[in-house]
Amino acid sequence: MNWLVRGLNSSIGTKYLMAVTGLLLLLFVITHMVGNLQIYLGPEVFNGYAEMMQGLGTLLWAMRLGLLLILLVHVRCAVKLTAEAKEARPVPYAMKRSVAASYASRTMFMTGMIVLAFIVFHILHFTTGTFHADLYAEAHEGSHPDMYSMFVKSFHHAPTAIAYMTAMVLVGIHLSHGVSSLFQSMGFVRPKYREMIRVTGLGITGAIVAGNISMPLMCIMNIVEVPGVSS
Amino acid sequence: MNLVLKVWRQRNAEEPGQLETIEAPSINPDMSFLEMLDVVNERLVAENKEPIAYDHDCREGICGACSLVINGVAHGPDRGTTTCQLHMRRFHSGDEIVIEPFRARAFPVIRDLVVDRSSLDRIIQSGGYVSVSTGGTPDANEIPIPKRAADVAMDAAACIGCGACVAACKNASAMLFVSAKAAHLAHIPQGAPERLERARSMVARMDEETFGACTNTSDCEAVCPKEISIEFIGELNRDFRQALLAGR
Ligand code: HEM
Ligand code: FES
Repeated sequence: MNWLVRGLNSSIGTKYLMAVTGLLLLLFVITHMVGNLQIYLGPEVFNGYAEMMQGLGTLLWAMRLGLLLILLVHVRCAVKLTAEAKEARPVPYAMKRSVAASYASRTMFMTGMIVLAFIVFHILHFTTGTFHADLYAEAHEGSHPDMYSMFVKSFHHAPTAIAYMTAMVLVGIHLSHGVSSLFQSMGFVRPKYREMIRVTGLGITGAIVAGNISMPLMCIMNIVEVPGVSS
Repeated sequence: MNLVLKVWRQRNAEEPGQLETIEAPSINPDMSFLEMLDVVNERLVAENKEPIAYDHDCREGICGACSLVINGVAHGPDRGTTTCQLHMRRFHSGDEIVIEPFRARAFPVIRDLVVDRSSLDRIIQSGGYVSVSTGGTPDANEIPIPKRAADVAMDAAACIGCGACVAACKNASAMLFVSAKAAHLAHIPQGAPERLERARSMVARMDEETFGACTNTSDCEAVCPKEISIEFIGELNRDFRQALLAGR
């Protein structure tokens, strides 16, 4: 086992962990979005989905724990890589220009940290009901929780909708480098695929940003509404 | 042309350095960047001042001795070009040019713009060779090597080990250098058998030498005077993964 710990602690090993956890997070983000896009199918479908998730019980907690672990490894590797990079150049340049590196590739730690803050806020919002507690309580009044109404009403609150949309732009910046970068880190590359991987990465990122931003946007524009409530 | 240089001056590794403003009047635009520094140095010596220390050797773009980060870019503004092959016609009269050493913890400054790049040599010593001695030089084409393999190996072997990749990288990572030095052997029959072992030992040494990790920004590829592709970094990542997971 020593070889594994030592290997994964090396620079390339850490990048490998970063890429594998990044890929798992990416798959989660896609699944999470597809689940939420059911908001467009109306209250019955969406609340049914929410109830199905709650009904998973132990499995739900296992998934939450797994996700937390993946996120912790991702963040821990990010902190390690960033700290080592800083140590690797103790005297900074007076003048430094990037010739080819994208803005996204140079700001991965910053965009990642903001996304982390957003994840905490997001859990406080929809999972624990700490933020928008009134809406959360209202949604849980009946025998079946009405997450559809909470979702839509939350985003009728403009600052909330704007915060979510901003966070999604940052996720997009993170992934615009991250998706193609993970292939390189895992060593799944061939020169002839380079352009294809880059374009596919940007495509996946674009789809995630568009899909996720559409939801608060449709709510704030009153295109998605709670039946019987006009705002 | 008349230029104003802002040059990093540092007496030795221990003392801190700073940028010093030095006038460079009447520079011929056909001079190379290093010839311009020679002219400036002659003036400094005539004025009884310390000349600017900088590295150079072949002055024809093949040895990898010259370095310098010029206006924030390793080897200056021309792509695929070493500092010795950069010419002053690339600049305009009146320009201010900031000249700094290649900066990395693994490249300590010896004096002014001269840095100690022996960390790269130690990475080669850790595994950048074929360990079986095969006697004298074999006849050409005695070992058949597919054209494609020879081409890829040659692309990697074009690395002159200057360290510009490290200088340009935001993480001061040496991955482009190490991956090129691993790949030029991995692609040919003589070097292929030790491919995984080599990846493991060279990466271990690279980490010990305190280079940062690669985050695939591709700035290295852009400044490389030999335009080495980051595809070799992907290959080294793959070899290291195989060495780690599939090795014994
Ligand atoms: C939904 C959450 C997230 C997703 C989907 C995600 C996805 C990814 C992906 C796919 C990569 C590419 C891996 C590679 O380069 O090999 C990556 C890299 C990275 N992530 Fe994340 N990430 C997320 C959250 C975070 C968080 C919370 C941080 C906190 C600091 C973070 C920091 C980083 C850093 C520093 C890198 C390395 C960048 C590089 O190699 O240039 N990420 N991420
Ligand atoms: S002096 Fe030899 S490459 Fe520039």
